[in-house]
Amino acid sequence: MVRTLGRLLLLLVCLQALPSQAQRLSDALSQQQQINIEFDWKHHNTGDELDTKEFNAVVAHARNVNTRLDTSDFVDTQARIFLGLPVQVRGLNNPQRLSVSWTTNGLFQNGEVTPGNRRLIFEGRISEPVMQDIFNFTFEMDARFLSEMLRLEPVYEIEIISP
Amino acid sequence: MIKTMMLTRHISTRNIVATLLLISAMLVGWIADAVTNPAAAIVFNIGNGSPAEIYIQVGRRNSISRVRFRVANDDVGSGNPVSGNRRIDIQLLIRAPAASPLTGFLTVDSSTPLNNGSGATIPVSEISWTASSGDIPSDSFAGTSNQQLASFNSSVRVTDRHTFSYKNRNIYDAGTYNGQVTYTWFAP
Repeated sequence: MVRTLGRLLLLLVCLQALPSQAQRLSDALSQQQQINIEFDWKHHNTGDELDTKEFNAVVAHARNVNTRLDTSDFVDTQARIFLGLPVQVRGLNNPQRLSVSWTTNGLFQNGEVTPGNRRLIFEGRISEPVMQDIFNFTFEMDARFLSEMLRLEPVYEIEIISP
Repeated sequence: MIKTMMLTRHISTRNIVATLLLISAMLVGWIADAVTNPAAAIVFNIGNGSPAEIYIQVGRRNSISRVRFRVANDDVGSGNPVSGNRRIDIQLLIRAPAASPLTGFLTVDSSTPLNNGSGATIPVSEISWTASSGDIPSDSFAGTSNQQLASFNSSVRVTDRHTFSYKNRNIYDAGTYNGQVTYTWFAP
């Protein structure tokens, strides 16, 4: 019985020492909270050179989005930070019909992601309690699946590589 | 031996309590991690600003396309159809987001007969067409101002090629008869 409990205790200690699962990072420190933009047709030349996807493509831009992530709990750790989208997006009939891409000013990596997925935007040592960058987002989707106004909330996650 | 066994059971009870306390503390920590889920602050609200679009092109862009029928003197009114000298492409386009779909209607105005400039006329209903793809079906001009040819729901692009034919059923004064039909593509 003592040996069994001892093994259980050792197992629990080992589990606690394993790298953490992804944790959500707050972007509540960001300046602009509700960003209202509009879709427009991506291609205004509607000739035969457009395939069906291009013909129905709409695009919206959100530029100069000052994004501030609260990394105060992770200073001096080696970590990965991800940007992802929830699989369910209000107003979207088919998650695969939306893609979000972005460029930044350099702290975070450029990338592209679809709902239900995430993309690595940072890997390295967390040196500041707040990590800030300017994002230029582009949202592109197929207008045939745009049923109502989209409401989209990017999700930022952090995984600790080593404490 | 009995004394040893009694000593072992006493130590086990303390260990059990300590272990249970440790497990509970760790479970609380894991649960705390699971529920620590800061809400997103930046929210994008993306509206449907893409305007509905319709487009039509009949023949060449920005010009009136002419179709000629040449009827031989000894064939006038024979009933043998006479084909036009060219085929005309009709291209339609209508697109709109799924949130606000449209239906487009293609009509033609053939109410003004062909005339030779001297008062003689030939109704446009003497002209028919054969459609290549059938998206804008084969038919004859009705000689009316608002003949509906086809309708399409957004979003779609349609191209059909029409080959025109003069029915040559009646005898008319010799001469050159000119006329014009006008296609309209609209979404109410």
